[in-house]
Amino acid sequence: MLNARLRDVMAAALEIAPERITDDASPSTIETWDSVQHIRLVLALEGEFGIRFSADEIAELTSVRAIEERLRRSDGKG
Amino acid sequence: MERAEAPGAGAVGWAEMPTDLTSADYFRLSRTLQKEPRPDLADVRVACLGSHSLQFVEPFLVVEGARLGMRITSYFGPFGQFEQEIGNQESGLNRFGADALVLWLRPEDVDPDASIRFHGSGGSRFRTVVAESIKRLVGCAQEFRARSKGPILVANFSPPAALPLGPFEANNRDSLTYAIWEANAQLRDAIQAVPGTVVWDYANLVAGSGRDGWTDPRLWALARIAVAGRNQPSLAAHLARTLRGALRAPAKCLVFDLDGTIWGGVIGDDGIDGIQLGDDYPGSAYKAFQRYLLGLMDRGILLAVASKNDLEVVRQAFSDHPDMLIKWTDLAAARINWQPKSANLREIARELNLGADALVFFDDNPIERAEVRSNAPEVQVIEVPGDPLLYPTTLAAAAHFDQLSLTEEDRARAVMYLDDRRRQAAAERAASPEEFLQGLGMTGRVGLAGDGTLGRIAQLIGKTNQFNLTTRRHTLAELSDMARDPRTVVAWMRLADRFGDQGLIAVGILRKDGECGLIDSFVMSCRVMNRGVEQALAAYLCEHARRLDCHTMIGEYIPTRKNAIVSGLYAALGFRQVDDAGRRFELDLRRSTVAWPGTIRREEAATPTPAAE
Repeated sequence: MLNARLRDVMAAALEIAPERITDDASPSTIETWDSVQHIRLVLALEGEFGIRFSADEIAELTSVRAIEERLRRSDGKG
Repeated sequence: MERAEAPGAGAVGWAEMPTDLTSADYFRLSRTLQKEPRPDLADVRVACLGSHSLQFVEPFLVVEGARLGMRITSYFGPFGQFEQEIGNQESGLNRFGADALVLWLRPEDVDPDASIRFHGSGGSRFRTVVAESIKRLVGCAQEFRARSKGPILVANFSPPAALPLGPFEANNRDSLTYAIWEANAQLRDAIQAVPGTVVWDYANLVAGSGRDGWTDPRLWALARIAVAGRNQPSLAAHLARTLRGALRAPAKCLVFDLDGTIWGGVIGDDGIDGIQLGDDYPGSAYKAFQRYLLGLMDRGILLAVASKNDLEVVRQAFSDHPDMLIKWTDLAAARINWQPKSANLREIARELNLGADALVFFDDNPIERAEVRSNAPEVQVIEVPGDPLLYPTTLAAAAHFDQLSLTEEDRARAVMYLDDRRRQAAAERAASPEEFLQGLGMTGRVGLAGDGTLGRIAQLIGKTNQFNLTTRRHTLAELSDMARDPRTVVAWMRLADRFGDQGLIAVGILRKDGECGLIDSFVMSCRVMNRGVEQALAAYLCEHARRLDCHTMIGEYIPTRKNAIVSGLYAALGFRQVDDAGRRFELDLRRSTVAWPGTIRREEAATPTPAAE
């Protein structure tokens, strides 16, 4: 189940309705998810969840699944 | 439903919006602002061109702009494409239709080696890149100016986080640091060639925020974004404030409270010896604030007091307290009584011939601030922090008194208001108004606009609300064009008398239209009301109209909320009303004219040579 907090942040950063953030959402299904918006999304996630991604991670976090997976990992560490 | 998430939007006044917003808050607020009509905000369309990716700042700029009363719509050109965007009629920028242009070119983007390997060429490579960059920027500004009258903001250059010589940059005269300072001075001088172009002081923004961490290497590597995410709010706030300053005239008068504001304690209870004011804390905090206020006065902002106190006690504090830096004579107006402050502020505005919206109110008491906010909503109220040590930075952070450039009038204004008080005393002594005017020994100097006067003319046209017949707010760039147009006369008048020099106080613009001379603008500072200045300027305009072979002079009166005092001006000057609404007046120049008043000795300035193209 997609975390409501994650959904809200993603919706704000990608400027779309929260319902559109589904498990399999990615830049290919959401037209506003372009490279600039991606950086906005990543920074919003960093602020919301108090983590810092490496440049490699930023480049790879291009799907809801990848983002959830990454957040789960830092939860485990925290 | 999405809107409900946005904190503050619509519900809270923008000026009181919280400052600690997260990135996600900015994105939500920005979307809300762009969707909803906001009649309380001024629409501003800004086009931005950069040597790096600027678009990222957009939501931050929307929110920070709203805080300053603007609803910003922006366009961001593809990075690095300055000439293409400006030069091509079909470019995104030219289709966008901008009110303002931002140019942001970083030498390190043009040639990274020029700054990182600065000493490889002894700095010459850097200086070359800078010289070429400045040339490009001025070229772009000129081309934009040919199509638009809007302000152009050009970012200056900031040193990179890693300086080649580390802590010893400043020890070496040939270091990158000095080269950048010189480049910024050159940039400032070069853009004077394009009217309405201002430096966006990016260098001081970065220095003020701290160069370390200003850039996020990840954002640069992945997206060519030059400013870290956490610094985007201050970047946007600084840009928005610069834009506002380029578009709006500054407030004219700061009205402040006394107890708890310029000294600690309550003078009525504590007495002169009991208030906190001196060289040791906490008195030093108030003394420092007084010094800051005098600094505002030095650049032309009027100081006035509204305080609930006993006048006599207050006067004594001003004259006898050894640490009072502000003198009673520094005040342009004072209301010390037990009336509501909103009423006192209105009286002060009336006394100084200002609109209430030209006043900024600074009071440590939140109840007084709330009273003014609700009963005199036009007055701009500063949110004052509890700690007096923070007063100066609070005022400095407020954009109300931002002024693009200091004119001679600004620097001399405080003195002029003092002269006014002496003039008023003379008026009270004189037996009749005529005797008073004769006794003033006035000299009126008239002339046509040139490089030395255009700045002040633009300022007067931009901020005069009351003695303004048409309220046409011509920009500096437009005025500069008019001054060069042989069919247009941009005339000014200065006034001096035995009490002092009043500076350039009136402007008239005459446009030849066939056989008619149309008075496009007629503006006068209210400081010189009832001295015959309007008659003198009208006489000067009539002479020019005759010289241009005009048969008829046409005066217009366009009513606004504030200019009722000039509704009868043209009739008083002998013009004939030609419509029912009282908006159009004519004077047949073949039969009559307006005569120069006998109480003002006339001087005429040499006609300025047109500014070099």
